[in-house]
Amino acid sequence: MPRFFRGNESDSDSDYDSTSDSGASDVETQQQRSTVTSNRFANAAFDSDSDDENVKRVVKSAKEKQSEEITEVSKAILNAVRADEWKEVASDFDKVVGIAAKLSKTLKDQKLPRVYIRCLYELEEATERGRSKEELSKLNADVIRGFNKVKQRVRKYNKDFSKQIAEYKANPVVSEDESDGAAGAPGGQAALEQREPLKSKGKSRATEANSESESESDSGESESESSSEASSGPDDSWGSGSESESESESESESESENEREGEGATHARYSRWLKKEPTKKKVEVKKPAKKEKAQQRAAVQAAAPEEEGKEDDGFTTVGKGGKAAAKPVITAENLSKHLDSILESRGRKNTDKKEAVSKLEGLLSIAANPLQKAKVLMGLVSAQFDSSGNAQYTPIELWHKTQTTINELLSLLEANPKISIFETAEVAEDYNDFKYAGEAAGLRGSLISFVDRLDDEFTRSLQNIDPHTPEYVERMRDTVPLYVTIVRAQHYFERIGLKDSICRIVLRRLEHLYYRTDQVNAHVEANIAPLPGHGTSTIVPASAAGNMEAVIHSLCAFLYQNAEPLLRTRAMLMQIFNHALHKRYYVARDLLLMSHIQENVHQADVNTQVLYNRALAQLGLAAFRLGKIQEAFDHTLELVSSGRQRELLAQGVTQQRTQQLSPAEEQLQRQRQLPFHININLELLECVFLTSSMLIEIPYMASANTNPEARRAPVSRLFRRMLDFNERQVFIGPPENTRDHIMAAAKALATGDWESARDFVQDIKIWSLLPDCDEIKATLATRIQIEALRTYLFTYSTQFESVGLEELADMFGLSVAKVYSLLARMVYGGELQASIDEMSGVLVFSRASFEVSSRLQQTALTLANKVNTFADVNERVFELKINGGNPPGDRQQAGNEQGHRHQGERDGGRSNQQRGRDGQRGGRDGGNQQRKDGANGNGNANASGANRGRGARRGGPGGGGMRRGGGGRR
Amino acid sequence: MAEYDLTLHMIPLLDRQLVFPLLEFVSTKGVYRAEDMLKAKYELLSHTNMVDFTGSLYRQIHDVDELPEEFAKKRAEVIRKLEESEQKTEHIREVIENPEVAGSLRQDKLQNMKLLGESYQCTPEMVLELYNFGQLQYNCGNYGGSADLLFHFSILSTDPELTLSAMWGKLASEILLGNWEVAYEDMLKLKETIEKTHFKSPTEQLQQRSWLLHWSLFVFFNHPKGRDGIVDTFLLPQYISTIQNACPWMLRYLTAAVVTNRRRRNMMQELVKIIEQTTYTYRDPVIEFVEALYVDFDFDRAASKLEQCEDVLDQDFFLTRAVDDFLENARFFFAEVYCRIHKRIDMVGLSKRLGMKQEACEKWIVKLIRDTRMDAKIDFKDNTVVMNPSYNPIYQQVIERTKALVFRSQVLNGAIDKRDSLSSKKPEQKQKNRQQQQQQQQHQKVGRKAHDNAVAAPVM
Repeated sequence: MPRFFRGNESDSDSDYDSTSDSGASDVETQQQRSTVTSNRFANAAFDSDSDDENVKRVVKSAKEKQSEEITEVSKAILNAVRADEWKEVASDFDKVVGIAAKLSKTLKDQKLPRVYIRCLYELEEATERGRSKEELSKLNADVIRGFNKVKQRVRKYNKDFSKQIAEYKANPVVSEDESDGAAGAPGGQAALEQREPLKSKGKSRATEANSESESESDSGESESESSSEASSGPDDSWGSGSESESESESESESESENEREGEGATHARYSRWLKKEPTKKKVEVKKPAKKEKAQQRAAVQAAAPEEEGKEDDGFTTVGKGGKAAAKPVITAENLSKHLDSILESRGRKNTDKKEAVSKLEGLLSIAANPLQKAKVLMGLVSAQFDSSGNAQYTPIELWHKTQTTINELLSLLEANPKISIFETAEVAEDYNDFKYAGEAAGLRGSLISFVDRLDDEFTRSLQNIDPHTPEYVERMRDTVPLYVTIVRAQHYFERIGLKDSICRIVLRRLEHLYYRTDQVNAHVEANIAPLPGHGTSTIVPASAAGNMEAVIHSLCAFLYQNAEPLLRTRAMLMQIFNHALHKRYYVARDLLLMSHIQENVHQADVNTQVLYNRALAQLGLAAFRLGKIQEAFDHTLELVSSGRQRELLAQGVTQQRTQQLSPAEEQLQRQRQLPFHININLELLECVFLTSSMLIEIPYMASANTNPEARRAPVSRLFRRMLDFNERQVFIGPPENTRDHIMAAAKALATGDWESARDFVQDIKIWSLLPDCDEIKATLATRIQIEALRTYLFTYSTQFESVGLEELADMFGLSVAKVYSLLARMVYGGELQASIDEMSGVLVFSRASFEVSSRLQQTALTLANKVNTFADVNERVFELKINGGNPPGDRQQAGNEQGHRHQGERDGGRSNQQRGRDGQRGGRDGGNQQRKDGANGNGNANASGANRGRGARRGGPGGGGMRRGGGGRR
Repeated sequence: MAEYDLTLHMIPLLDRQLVFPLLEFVSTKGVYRAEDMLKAKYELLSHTNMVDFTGSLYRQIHDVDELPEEFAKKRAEVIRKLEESEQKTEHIREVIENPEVAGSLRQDKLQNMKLLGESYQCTPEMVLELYNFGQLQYNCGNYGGSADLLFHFSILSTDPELTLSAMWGKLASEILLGNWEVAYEDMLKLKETIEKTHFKSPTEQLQQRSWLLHWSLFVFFNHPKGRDGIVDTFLLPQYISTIQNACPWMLRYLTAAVVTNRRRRNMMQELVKIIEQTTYTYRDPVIEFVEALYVDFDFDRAASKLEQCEDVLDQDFFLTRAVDDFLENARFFFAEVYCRIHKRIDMVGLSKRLGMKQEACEKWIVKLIRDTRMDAKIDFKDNTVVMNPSYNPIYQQVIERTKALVFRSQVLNGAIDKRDSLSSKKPEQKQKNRQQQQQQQQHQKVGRKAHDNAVAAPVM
């Protein structure tokens, strides 16, 4: 049944009641008189629990069922106590307590069944009696456990019932015949009488009227009706309350009908025992009639709203059409009441949400002053949100409407600074808001949740619209108005100083800004300039206007200072992302390292982790754009080689062969997905990764000739795998996709053919997605020349006695000075066993490097390494198994020094490339972490611990020392 | 040369009175305008209690003979305060200077306070008065007095914050007095305290550390052992991160210290790594010299940077005395790298790059060869230096790698043996074990020497 009519209906009900025939009032007075008698009956009846078998009943109310149950279980307990079956007693006791709790709720302050109290009493007696040890020892363990449990629980539980138990103690006689189950004539009558109050109670419960005492029996019903008229509390209208209740509750109309029937039957059968039967009957008859009428009315109203006014003969004014009819009834004075009744119906079953919206819109036109308007608008926003139903996302039209409403609300608040909305406002009980004259007023509500919801709905719609359709673009246009709304809300929150809300709204604002470039943002930001509160904001100083970096920084800075840790983290990640987007690599990286976010991000929620991954990916791209190949590689390595970059960046789901996701999980992942326009281009990311890999891996592979380390562990497994796969193919066509291009380039690079390598790389189309594409291509070309030179030297060093610097410069299109610098670096670092002859301008390879190529010698070297590893393993085994985690003996003191010297010597012979890589890598993993530790000095132990793993695995120069150090620490 | 002047960077992180010598120095070098310097000095000192001196500055600036009245007033006020504090602290100073008391003081501060309170009627307020008096003395330029007072205070006080602050005051006083030996110790103590203390926020600790870095410069460049000290301190991870986060310009001093400290050559590698990471925030010729030499291997640039370094260092308050030392050592590093890379070196070119006369260069190179035992010869005919680069042949590599194995296995073996007989005679075994090790080491040393002789290929 539509909400809209319910409000009216309650009116009609009250009208109806006030003009009702004298019969009803007669009934009331009579009932009041009869209360005394029925009261007595009721009390008596309650004491003697009815024996239900005597009365044939069609339907039992829930309460009756419960009281029966409680009786039964109580009896079972009593029996069990006598038989010393304490285990059962324990379980039964739990059961009975549960039922009693339910029953006492339904009974309100009626007394619980006598037998229950008795049971409690007996239990207490039995447990407190105290048992001798011998007696206990006879029983088995289970029983004793049960006994102790019951004892404790009873002692605790009975405290609440001490009064009733005392009563029972004082007069245990009644219970005696009750337990016998004897049902004499008076008993039967009493039983019947007892049922009556329960029944009526069952119904009046639905009205949720003020708590009446059980003695009020039937009269309670009618009284509650009349009292509800008098009082104008929020749940004044009996009709609406009971109606909706009976609809929404599981006991449907039909059941209550049944009940009524059953009631009628008992009445007929036992009528002779009842003195007040006539009056009762009358009420009973009257009730259904009234109810029927209400239902009928409702049905008609639902069918034809226009006729509602005519149909309701209770109305004094009759209008045409629903709204016209409502007008005379709903005035500014009683608007709040109507509003409340509409709002109350919110969230109930069978509420027509659309009707609520239109009704509220009607109210809006009536609202006399800003306060009322604000109230109605708030209601309207919620109603509009509700009315989207179960659709995947709010229909766009509705979304627009909602946005307009929120904007209206905001303008209202801007125009009336005295009105404020916050969650802790006190709800005004009086309905004098029509007298509002501009004084300060607080409304309870949460504007932030409206804006949150609006934004979420927007995101959800973008998630569900196909990004390649014009519709998506159309939808994207709403970003700007939405952003304006958010900023307006922010100004508002700043004005009234809701700290929590400010933080949330600022984060929302950031979420709209961080992924876009400054130009776009500046364009968007231009739209907020005409806003009334613009420039007054303390969060974004006026000086920052126009400078998007400053705006974002000030927003973030505000969050760093004021927000809770989660919001802070997110703000930080967004700022990192934004810095990286604008090529401010160092700033972004330092922020990331200083925040120590990488240490605890795995504990964060999924969305934050996604944001972290995004920031990392963007950082990688930024490094690449600056030509920092190694850094770009490091940042993207984990992301890309995981093979799950889609999930990690929340940009879709990768088909996984091995594991099947449950539908729920899939749903969850879909919800998490970011709208398309925010996505980082995965192909670009992969391309960046592969290009970096190529530039690092190819010379590294070539150096395997002279550097045995290089043969073992590839820097980028993924790249190696791809290259191997590519090489195994019988026929290789011209490159088509990005990956093909890079593979072709890699192969060209490996042979020193830098020109074709450069062409292959520059042919990749996806570079055009990067803003400074030409610049990057140029940088890449230089890098390729350099790496080609290095690769060439590594590969062919054994074949040459000497190489001319100028020839090299010629071959690779580099300047002599550059070649010189490169060679010097390689020589100094020990990558090349050679030296430069300054006089003749040639690089002379030393004889030692020839010897390296001797097979036997190489094998000997490998053997030496293996033996070393063997010794390492032995030591570790000793540490673990024998020495309880300590290094063997006193080696640490004398041996450390030794080890150091040894280590140093070994390092000398190591390739610099290796060292450099390790250093740089350390720069990312631990070393940098260390250096960026800020003031947090003690983070170092952890950092080097983290570094240790990698160092050891890669067998780098730091590895051994680190591992050994680690052993010492252990 | 104002471009490379670090005074402006450093002022915020130094104490007023510590800045004064810096300003004095800068004004003698004439980097900035003299009037500005005077004003700056006046501004600097007008917040201290050195009224007389400030007054004379005032006269200089405004070119007048008479001082405004406020100077006299302030002077009177300061003297009054001094007297007042002196009276207040009279008792406790007497007590402290009593040798009996000094002898009975223990490590436990609370206990000390109790003792003083019970036997000598010293209240915590009196101790606090010591602090105030010390500060007052310091502000008046009476550093000797302030150092004493603050020292006593830091011993007695139970308030960690004030203690720290007193330690800073003491350090400043000692620095200004020129007691480098004491200052050095004070600084080390302060460093320890900063590391031990738990600060409320990391920022605070960062600030303390950057202060320490700056203040320590006074000590390090004046104390005989300072060169080692600065390298050790600055290269601690937490101080490296402090430098990189808060004050990258300190890298100049670290670089200078590493370059001038030839005995700690291996530090260079570490320094280069740091420089590579930090040059995006700060660079000056000193750093660029190292960068050109070790990162880019651009010897021409390195040479030109070295020339610039001379000027920069000369303008630097702390490094001005180390200029010659720096240049000498920088040349050494330069030559070392140059020789490592080249097979044949043109002496004329090298001498040009090093900015020396050919003859001097020749001498110098001979000395270099002798010092570093490089395998190099000067060929007079071509006027070249010929290097015989020595690479570890494979067999030597194998030997080196496996050399330690014997020892390691023995230790392992010994450890297992020891464990077996652990229950009975633990100490004896240990001693024996150690002896064994020593023997082993000696044995190895001998072995290595013999080996070296045999191969006759000493590594630099």
